[in-house]
Amino acid sequence: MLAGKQPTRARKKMGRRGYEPYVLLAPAIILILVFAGYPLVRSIWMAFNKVSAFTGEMAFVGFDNFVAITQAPDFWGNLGRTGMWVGGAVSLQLLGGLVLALLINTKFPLRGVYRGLVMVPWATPSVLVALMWKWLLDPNNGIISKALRGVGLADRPVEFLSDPAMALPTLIVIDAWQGIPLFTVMILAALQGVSEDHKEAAATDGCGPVGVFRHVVLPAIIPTILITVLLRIIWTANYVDLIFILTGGGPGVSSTTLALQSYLTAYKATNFGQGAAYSVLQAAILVIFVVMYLRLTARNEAQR
Amino acid sequence: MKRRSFLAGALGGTAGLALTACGNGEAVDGDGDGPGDSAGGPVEITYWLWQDDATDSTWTDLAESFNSAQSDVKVTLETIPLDQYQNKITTAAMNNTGPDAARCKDWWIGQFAPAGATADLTPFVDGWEARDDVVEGLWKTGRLPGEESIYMLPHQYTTLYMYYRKDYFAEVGLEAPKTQDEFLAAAEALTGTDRYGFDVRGGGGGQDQWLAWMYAGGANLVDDAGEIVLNDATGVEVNEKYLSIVTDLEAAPPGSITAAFADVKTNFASGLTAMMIHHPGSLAEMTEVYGDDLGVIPIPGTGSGPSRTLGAMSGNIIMAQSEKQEAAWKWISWLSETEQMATMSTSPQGQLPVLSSVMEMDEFTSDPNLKVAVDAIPDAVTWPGLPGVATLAGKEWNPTIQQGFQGELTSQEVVDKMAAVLASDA
Repeated sequence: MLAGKQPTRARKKMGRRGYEPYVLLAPAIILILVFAGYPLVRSIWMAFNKVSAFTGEMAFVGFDNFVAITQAPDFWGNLGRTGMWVGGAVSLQLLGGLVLALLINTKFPLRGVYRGLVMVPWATPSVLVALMWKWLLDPNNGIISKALRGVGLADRPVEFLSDPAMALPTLIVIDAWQGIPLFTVMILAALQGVSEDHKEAAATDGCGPVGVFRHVVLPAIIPTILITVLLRIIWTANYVDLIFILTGGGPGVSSTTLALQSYLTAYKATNFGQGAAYSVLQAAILVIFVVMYLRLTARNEAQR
Repeated sequence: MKRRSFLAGALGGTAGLALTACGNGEAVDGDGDGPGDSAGGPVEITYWLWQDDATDSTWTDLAESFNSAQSDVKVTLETIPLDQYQNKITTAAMNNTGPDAARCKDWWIGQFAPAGATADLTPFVDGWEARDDVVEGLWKTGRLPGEESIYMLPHQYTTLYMYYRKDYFAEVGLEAPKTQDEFLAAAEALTGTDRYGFDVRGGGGGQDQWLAWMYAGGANLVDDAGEIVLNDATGVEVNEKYLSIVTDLEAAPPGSITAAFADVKTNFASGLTAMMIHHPGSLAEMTEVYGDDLGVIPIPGTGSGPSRTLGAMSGNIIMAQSEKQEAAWKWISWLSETEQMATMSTSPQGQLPVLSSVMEMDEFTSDPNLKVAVDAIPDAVTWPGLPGVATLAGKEWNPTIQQGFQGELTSQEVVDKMAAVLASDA
């Protein structure tokens, strides 16, 4: 009897207070709707309209904005550069973050201090990062160009940011420098959760350091790596500060990405319709990664 | 009870946050019925500006003088970095959250005024005492092509000229160039080991020095009928000469095709370059660096007739959405009165005055270097008030000219592309 009554009471209680979870969630939901939902819906709607920049008046034009941007001469180049920018930066960050995490997971003097210092690039505001690298990379007065000439690796000033062949790779390296700490910290946290017993058991069974890493450590940190990679793909694709300040997308269009083009089109050419169309198109591509991220986090939750 | 209180608090807090977030600042920018108005106090207005020298206090000093000199209007300044200025003012106008009055560049007028973002100042100007003191030719910087209405009150003007290093020229036995061909020959001769003739400034703000070169060489953006003629034969030829500084002569320093003003100034001040195009805004600094070795000349032109250059106006507009236009006019017209204009024009971030009474002051006539800029005023040409100008200047000029410098586009293709942008209604 008791066992039968409990669920009934619980259901009654649930029924009486079924609204409470929604009330408790209301602050978050309302804030998300106001600050994320409304701008999102408005951007999507703008992408299907010709928008008067100053009055905000809109005239529905269907898919005209999408047709216009995909037929623009630089569209496919911008798309390809976006792929290079995201792929290059995130790959380097993953590689650098993994190596650094493995290094600072070992025991050495002042390890705590070093672990803190590793975060400095990540904690530095993007504008400062951009300005710092702008000075370092200046072809005429920058220390890097002078050093390369000094040691005989270059016979003339190196134009890191004004040579179309070097601009995007240079930006990728700078972004990697800034993003490696996040990967490091995430992977380091995952590494510290790897069972020492499992590693010892693998070593006892004859695995060398590489074997232990491959068969024990890597499977344990892979979920963290995947989630971090997906997050960084989304963030890097939308990241324009660095490119805008350092090259403005140039020389020519050699470092222009879709996100930057969206910003320039909306705010410099005041064509909000086409600017929004770039954003919506990129968001549609990124939705694939968002879905992957959500499925991965859901699976991780289920495994706990 | 505790649970209910918490839930009520959560809802109330959320509503409060949302309302705060959604508020558009009407208490300050609203309908003129703020506490100051109803209590008979001054009408409070907001004024947006960018500062060429953020460390200089002239703007805030002027605002304090204005607020203390009368009790009808109280102005509050909001400084916005120039890089973000156009974005902010556009977005604010769209959302009806803009200022009452704002500083404005002449090349935005073609975009702002036709869209109805700026108030027609003609009725105010017609009744303004100092109207006739404004150099007559400068009123056109606030007009749209073919229109008589005035949308921008002239305030600070500048004409572009050229600095050159007298000692560098003496080393190679050359006189200061008078024509563009002489300039190109000098740029080539002055280029050597770790020294270059001229920075082409293909980065931010470079469109002004390029246009000054184009005007000096006889090219135009539009003809008298308002037709776009940038890509006519003269335009192609003069642009070709500009591109050749990089493509043929290699007389520009590394990084020049993406250089912004800070880079160009550093390169000239450090002795890396021998010539530089700028305006009186940097004259004091350059004179301090080089003293008598600094030469100032009009931008080399065709050699026939007075050399033309670009004139650039930073004026003041009143936003069409403002319901305090009378008060806004009181502020911006006060700024353009003799004393205030002299204060601004002689400040570290000052440019040339637009009032004849100030222009005749000793400060603007005794310095032969500054006089080069003053003398250029009658023949200076401004950006035309076309909607495409802001798009060209803000978005398309940089990548297009950079592609020209890289040899990816010919001179004809460069000016064709720019002409198409000018012709657009973007």
